[in-house]
Amino acid sequence: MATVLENDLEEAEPLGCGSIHEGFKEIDEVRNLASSLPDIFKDQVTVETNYERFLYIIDQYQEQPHLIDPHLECLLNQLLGIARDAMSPPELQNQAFKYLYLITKMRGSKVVVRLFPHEVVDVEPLLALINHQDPTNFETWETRYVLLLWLSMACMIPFDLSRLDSNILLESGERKKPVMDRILDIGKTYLTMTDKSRDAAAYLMSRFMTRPDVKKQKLPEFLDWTLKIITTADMTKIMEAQKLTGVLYTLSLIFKHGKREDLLEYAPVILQKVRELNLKESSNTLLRKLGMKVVQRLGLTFLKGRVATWRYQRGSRSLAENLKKQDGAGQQGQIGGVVGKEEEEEEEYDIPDEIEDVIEQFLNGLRDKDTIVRWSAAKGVGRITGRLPKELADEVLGSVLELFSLQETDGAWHGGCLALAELGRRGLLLPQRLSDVVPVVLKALVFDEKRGNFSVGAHVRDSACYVCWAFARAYESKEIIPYVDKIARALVIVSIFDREVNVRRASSAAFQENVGRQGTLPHGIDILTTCDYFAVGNRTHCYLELSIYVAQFKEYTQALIDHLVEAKINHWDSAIRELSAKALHNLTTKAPDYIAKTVLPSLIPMATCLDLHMRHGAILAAAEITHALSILAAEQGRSLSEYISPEVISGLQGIAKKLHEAKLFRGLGGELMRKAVCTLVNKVSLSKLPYHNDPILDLWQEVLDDCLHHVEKDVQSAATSAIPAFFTEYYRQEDGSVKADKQVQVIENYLKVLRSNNEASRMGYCQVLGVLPQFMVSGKLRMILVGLIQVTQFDDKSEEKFAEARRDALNAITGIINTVGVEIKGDPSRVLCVDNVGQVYDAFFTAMKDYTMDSRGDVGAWVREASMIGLHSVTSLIARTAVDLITPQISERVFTLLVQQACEKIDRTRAHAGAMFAKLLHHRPLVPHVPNREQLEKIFPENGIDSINWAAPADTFGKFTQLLEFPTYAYSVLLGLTVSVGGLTESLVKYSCASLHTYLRFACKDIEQLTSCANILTQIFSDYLKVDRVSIPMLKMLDQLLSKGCFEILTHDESHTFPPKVLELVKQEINKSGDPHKLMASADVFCGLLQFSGEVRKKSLVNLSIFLCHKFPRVRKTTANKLYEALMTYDDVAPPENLDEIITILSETNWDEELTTLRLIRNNLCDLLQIPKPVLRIPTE
Amino acid sequence: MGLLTILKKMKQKEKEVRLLMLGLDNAGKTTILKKFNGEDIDTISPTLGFNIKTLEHRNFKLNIWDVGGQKSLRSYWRNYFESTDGLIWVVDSLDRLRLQDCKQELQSLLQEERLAGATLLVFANKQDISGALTSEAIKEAMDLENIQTHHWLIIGCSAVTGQNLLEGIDWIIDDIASRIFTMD
Ligand SMILES: Nc1nc2c(ncn2[C@@H]2O[C@H](COP(=O)(O)OP(=O)(O)OP(=O)(O)O)[C@@H](O)[C@H]2O)c(=O)[nH]1
Ligand SMILES: [Mg+2]
Repeated sequence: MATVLENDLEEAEPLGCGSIHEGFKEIDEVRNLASSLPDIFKDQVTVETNYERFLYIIDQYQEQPHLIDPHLECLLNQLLGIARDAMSPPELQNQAFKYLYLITKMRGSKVVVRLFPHEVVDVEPLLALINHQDPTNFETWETRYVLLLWLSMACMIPFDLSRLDSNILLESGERKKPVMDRILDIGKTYLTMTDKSRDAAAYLMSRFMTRPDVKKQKLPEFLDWTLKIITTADMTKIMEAQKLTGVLYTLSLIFKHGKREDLLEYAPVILQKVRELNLKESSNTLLRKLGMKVVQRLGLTFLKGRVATWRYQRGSRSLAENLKKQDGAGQQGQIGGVVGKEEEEEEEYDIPDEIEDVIEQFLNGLRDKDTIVRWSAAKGVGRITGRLPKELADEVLGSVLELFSLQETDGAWHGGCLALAELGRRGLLLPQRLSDVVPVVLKALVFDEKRGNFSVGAHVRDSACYVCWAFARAYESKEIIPYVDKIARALVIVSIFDREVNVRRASSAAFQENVGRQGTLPHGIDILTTCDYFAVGNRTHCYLELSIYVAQFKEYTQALIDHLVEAKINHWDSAIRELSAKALHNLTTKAPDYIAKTVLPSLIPMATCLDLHMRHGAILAAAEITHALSILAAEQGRSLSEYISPEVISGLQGIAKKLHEAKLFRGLGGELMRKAVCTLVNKVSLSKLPYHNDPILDLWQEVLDDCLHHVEKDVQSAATSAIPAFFTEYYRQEDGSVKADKQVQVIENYLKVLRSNNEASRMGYCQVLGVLPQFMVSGKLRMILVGLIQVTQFDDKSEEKFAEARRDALNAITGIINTVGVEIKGDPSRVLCVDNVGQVYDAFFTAMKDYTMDSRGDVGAWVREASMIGLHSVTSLIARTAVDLITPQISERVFTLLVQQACEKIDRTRAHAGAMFAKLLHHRPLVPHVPNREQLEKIFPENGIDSINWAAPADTFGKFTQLLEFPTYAYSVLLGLTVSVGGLTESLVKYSCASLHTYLRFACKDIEQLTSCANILTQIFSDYLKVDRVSIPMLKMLDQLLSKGCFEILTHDESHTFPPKVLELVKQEINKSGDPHKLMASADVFCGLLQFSGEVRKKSLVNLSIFLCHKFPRVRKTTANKLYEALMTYDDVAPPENLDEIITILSETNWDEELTTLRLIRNNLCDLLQIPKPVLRIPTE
Repeated sequence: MGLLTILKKMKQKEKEVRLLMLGLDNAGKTTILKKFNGEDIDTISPTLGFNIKTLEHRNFKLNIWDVGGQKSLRSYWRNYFESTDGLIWVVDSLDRLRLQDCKQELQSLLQEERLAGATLLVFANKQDISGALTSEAIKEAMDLENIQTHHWLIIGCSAVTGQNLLEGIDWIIDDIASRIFTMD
């Protein structure tokens, strides 16, 4: 929903979730739609599409309806012209009314109704039009709705309606019914309808019945009619409930619009009848709400109105104006009117007994379970109380305050706040009552009632903001001053720490209103400009940054901290608890002593208490605060013990142990506790707390290691982020070397888990190995690498699916190598060196062949991507520090593998490969031995490399195919492109084929080059024979190339090895295959091979003829089609004299027939083609 | 409906001002309205009904209701009182004869509960004609000084020349805008 707010003392533009418009830009189109109605109304289809369009445009402006205003009058006149034209057929009129309704709905009936014609001459035709309507036709209710609305305006003409009645007799001899009676009939008819026209009728009746002449002649009678409906209605019946709705709505409007004195005499009886309805018990929310409205209006009828005398003292209508205004506007002419003989001289009030009942009903309404009813009740409380004498007003307030008890529901708190706000706005909370009201409101501002894993209360908090906002408007500063600090603090707290964005914004708005009108809030302007509507939108920003900003003002510092500790670190939402702990970290510098002496000690017992949420939050908070204090101490050159007492140190140490003893690491919440302890360990380690050699370290180690097994990623990462700090602080000796026993124990244990059958465990332990600090790895590098490399490989099926573990192992290798660094002749158990570099690269190279598939798809891609990252990172590291380690072989493998991946089918992987390729190609210092470096740099020049979209085949395939010229890369490029042909997206297949095709057609200048390309293709084919991932796309690729004539120059060279080689490979590929896709793809290739004369053609025909009698009808049919096409394409395949017959047979045979029949036909074809007939092989098994 | 919604609605309503223009017939109400709105003022006939004009002025949306002032229509004036922010009372400064009439009609309007909170602007119209009573004289004749219940201003003007129309309207808008918006 859009919200508008004055922001930053400037006018803010409305913010909609939809788009923001500057003007009603479709006005011409809308007007055309309107003016075309007479031409199209008979064409149902156009009528509907036009209506849809009209609706669509109008809907765009629901948030900013006023934009239509400059065009409204014109547009309405245009539509009314059609609608009221007696010559317009009813269908046309209805259509115009439908448009009118849409406009009315968007702009609001109150605005639109003003533009309806309302002259004397309009009345009679309007009545005639209404009389022509069928009140029950559900397709034309818009017509009735708009007509009634129109009549409500027209009947405001300031004449006696009797003056419109003529005495002329009708044909029937009767006199026409007087206008007044006719309107009354219309009203009664439509008030009892169930469609929306009822609302318009209610509005009409309220205008009509309050006319002086009608009131005199018809009001009593009409009210009787309504009372009859009220007293007899059976609310459990839908139709009657609807009737009642119409009547109650009308009454509320009549008593709203009418003159109080006119209506007073009827109010008591209506009130009584409405009370007897006992709507409170009705399940119909709308009825309950209307009940509130009627009661409110009746109540107001009993009491004389009063005007708030202070309204000029409290400043301008708009806050922005108020803040701008300084001068007293020069006046001319003569001005007067003191307005303000203060209410002191209390006129004598005459308070009828009914008022008590009215207020009673409101108090019930405030507790209603539905918000809209509470709202109505609250407004009622405000309005009525405004007319009561002080003592009574105060009694009302007393009753409202009773709603704020713990026995009441959140709904009652909400209703109570709304009522307080409505009272406050009107200045009806007497200053002496503020001492009762303010504490309640402060409680409501942070109302949050836990309901298990969520809570209720956002609406209560929002409404409490409303109360605070109202205070700002109605009180003089001096009345508010005693409370101003408390209110300011509470609002700031809600503005930056509430969980819900709308409540933060509401609070920020209330704060702003208070600053703008009261001006007494501490640092008000500073805070409101920083914590404005927009700034409080982002919760993390609020917690971590705005909190610091506000905390610099001492009036707020402690309150912010206390709120987090009391209300947020135990919040039901763990995200809030975590943010609160981090916020406390940041706030520590603002009040170090308070935090250290008061807050931190109080957290220790909470950290092991019974409430899971509180325990979790307290541990996190204690950890964060400790860390913050240690940083502060270090900055100040103080000892940490000045901030953290021995008790706290031992308290922190005891947390894990107590949790362990209470078995809180298990069961519900166990993982939360373990995660929290990870954070605790992390932070106390960073804080260098003196737990060295303490037995608690073993428990911590156990908890950390436990988390590494966990399937949840964030549990694992809590441990992996804690472990480096933990080891660094507690497993290292003074001289920086490792405590050998710990190292042995840890590394051996970790390496053991790498062989676990549980993938999550493998992953967690790989991750942690990857982040170990150097001193932990030193001396153990060799065994760690062996362990990790083992994870990257798999020999048996059960391990194959562990693709994520393989990825993590590769990442770990990359991480470790970066930690230990490179020394050419170093010790392989400490650094990367000539002795282990090959091993590392081999692991990456092998991983590049990982094409594991599972239900999630090509999960091998993760492994390949990790490998590419590793190749880049390690190669870069070596190039920077020990370049001689890169051999020509390594360089070549790295580059050819990246090139291949950059041509493959997954966009993301390709993008990855391309990026790594580009980085290494242009690496500084240079990576040595890059094959064809010079040419590569020409094809991929350094400048412009950043603008290449490596995921877009259109950007990259053309470039990579240029590498086909270089023998080193040709194989990789062709392999990559081939795989891409198997890709899913059309553009990918198109580009991979097309770029190769183009290359073969134009780049291959001679047979020699074509031959070498052809040889690589067959090489790939034979390397990947029966590997469907490559071989099926290969068949498609060959089909494409053959049918596009790429190998045309070979067609008459019967000695060339390519065609027979392809034929042979295809035959091997389909041998024993039952995959129809593969078979059909091979049929394509066989057909393509028909272009080569000689043996190849003959053998291809034989194979095709076998397919013609294949057991799958699909294969037979496809083959027949393909063969047919091939015979039409290539000359000389069949003896010309038989061609016609062959073609006829191919196209007219029903290939679904029995195989025995088909065999005869097929054999005939073989004769006609002059090839041997296939002999039926007797299956061997 | 939360506070942000209330504020949004209120911000829209704060920008809207409803003005009710009344006065005896022939005072020049319709002429003032048309002149102010930049329309032709040569073809105006007595208003046998009411006119509503919505105009944008100084970023405010003014809804001005002009109701006919003939005697028979006056009892219907009260149909238009609802949620009126400001009352513009137009006086024909030449119409010495009906000045007492004029005074009484205004007095009774000011008693009206539903107009209790409204600001009052009195236009002493037709100042372009010689012999027109001054605004000072009209103020005295109508005993305006004794009005305690409303903020008021009397200003001489001419609907024909446009003199002081803007000043009057600006004053009434300023007065309305300078009090807090109570939404009731
Ligand atoms: N010279 C002059 N003539 C004016 C002025 N204002 C109005 N008139 C004339 O006075 C006559 C009455 O003006 P209207 O605007 O119709 O008066 P009204 O108050 O709308 O009258 P009703 O609609 O009958 O209540 C017209 O002939 C106007 O031209 C003015 O400032 N100067
Ligand atoms: Mg007029």
